[in-house]
Amino acid sequence: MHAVLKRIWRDPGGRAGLLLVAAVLLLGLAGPWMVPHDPNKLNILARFGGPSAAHWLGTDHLGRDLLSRLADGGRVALLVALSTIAVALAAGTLLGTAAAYAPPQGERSILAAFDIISAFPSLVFALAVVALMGPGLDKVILIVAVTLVPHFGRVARAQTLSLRNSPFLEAERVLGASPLRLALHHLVPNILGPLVVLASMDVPVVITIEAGLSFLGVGVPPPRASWGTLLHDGYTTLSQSPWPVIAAGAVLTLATLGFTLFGEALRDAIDPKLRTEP
Amino acid sequence: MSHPLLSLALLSLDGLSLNYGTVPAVRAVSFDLHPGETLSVVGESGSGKSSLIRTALGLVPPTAGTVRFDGREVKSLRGREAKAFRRDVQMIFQDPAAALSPRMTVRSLLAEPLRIHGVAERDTWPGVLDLLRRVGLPESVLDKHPHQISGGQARRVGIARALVLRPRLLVADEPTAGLDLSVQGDIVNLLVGLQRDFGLTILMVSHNLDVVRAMSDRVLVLYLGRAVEVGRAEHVLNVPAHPYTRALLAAVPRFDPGNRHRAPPLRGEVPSPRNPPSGCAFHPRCPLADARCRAEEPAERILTDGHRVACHHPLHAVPAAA
Repeated sequence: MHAVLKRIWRDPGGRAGLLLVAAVLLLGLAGPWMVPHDPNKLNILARFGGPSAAHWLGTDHLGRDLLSRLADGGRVALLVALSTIAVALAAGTLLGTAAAYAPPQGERSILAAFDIISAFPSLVFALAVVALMGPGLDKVILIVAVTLVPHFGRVARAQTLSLRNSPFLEAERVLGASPLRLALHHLVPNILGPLVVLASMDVPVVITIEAGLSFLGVGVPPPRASWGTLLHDGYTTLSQSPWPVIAAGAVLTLATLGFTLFGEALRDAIDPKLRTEP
Repeated sequence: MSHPLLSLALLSLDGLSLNYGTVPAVRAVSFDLHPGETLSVVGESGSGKSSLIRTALGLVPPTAGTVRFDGREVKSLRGREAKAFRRDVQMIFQDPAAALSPRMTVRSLLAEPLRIHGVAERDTWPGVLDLLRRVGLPESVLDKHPHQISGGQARRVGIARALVLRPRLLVADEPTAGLDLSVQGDIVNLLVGLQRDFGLTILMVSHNLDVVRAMSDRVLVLYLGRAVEVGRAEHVLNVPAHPYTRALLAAVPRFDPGNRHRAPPLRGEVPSPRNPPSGCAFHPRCPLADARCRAEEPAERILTDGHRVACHHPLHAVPAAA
């Protein structure tokens, strides 16, 4: 773990990514306690304010403090990203390894399910879910997690297929290891590397999907802040003040850039082919 | 070691066959392995050696025939009995580094057999450390991962790991493959010593005939999945009855200026088991082949002292004194 972080730090892109990720984490996790204003407190008289000592990034069309709302939106973005990826990683690994070990028919049906999910436009799926169940943070997490499962499932299956006949798994069978032990102690630890890299590369994707859904009004329902809703509100009132769009756009861009750079550096750092440990 | 007639077989194969789809890999192989004995299976690549031991270990169910361990049919073992079988039968793998789970340390690799079989680690760990010294490894390897140790060390870890549970039968698949000549000698001496100290029965697969000669009580020669010759090592290796065995022995390079009785080495490759030759599977490569060999598969005939050969024209009918 320490060695991996060190290798990421040595790479210029990785270093920039690490710093940006740290800044986003700080903003999202610690921000709500550090910022001086309640993100949902209205102050109509102070609306469309530019940056000032009291409001560092200004105020939105309802006079709410932009910095506070960005921090709150960051929290939402991180929450959605981490929970969807955790769910998709777990479900994808389970289904992918099951597909690799299943008889041909079972494998085909799991792969067909992956194909259907991938082929279905995720936005239409999102609109359908929201129309049926109403908007909500939990629905956003559900929608994004389902669309990501095939990602992880396909990689998990390919990795499992490449390891399924490896001598060390046979050696464990000769020792009498149970299938559960084989899976948890020997298979999963050895297929996790590529899946973790994929997970880190998916963080910016999930953040943009969440922002996109919220921008379209099918994501996180107001008054809860999200970078997508901030952008949408800022966009509709762009003629009054450019600050909400600039602030939310910049944070969204920097966050996705940071996670992308971090993900790429992480991939390079834990790719076993590049490993030169003694 | 012990006389075949005086003890019950520990491992007994009877008419064992294994097909992959429609392709036969092992065809009606039978032998008994007695406690304390070492039996080596020899043959070229593709002769079915690995399939034979994988079936004998119960990793693949046989297509026909039976495998019995300690008198019980392996295929029918369930639950506690199956677990006891897994404990009693251990294996040394051909590629030792690849047979070690890559993310574990040597320490956990050695502790794992104990955990799988619920043996209290506290009581047995000193024994494991003794074993580690016995196979010639320093304690400093305990915290290393498989990719951090050498091939010879990985081989020794594999041997120690196979012995942690004090098995009764040790299956050794090419135990000296990929090692330097001097290390090969060390491993052979180690295995012979361990066999004596632990009372092991060994089923070995190898195409290194020097190693086979040094370790085996009996030798089984496999050609295209069929046992063409079985017998005591000194008979099979010194006075082979099957032309194929003679050719295998002749293929071993040797410093022997007076090699007058040398058979010509084998030409060609092992035929595909997908499309085996008619009659005796060895006839396309056999210098003694005639019309009968092309038409009729030879039955196994018994020479003396358990020496069996499947050939229409055995090189001799009675094994000469070794």
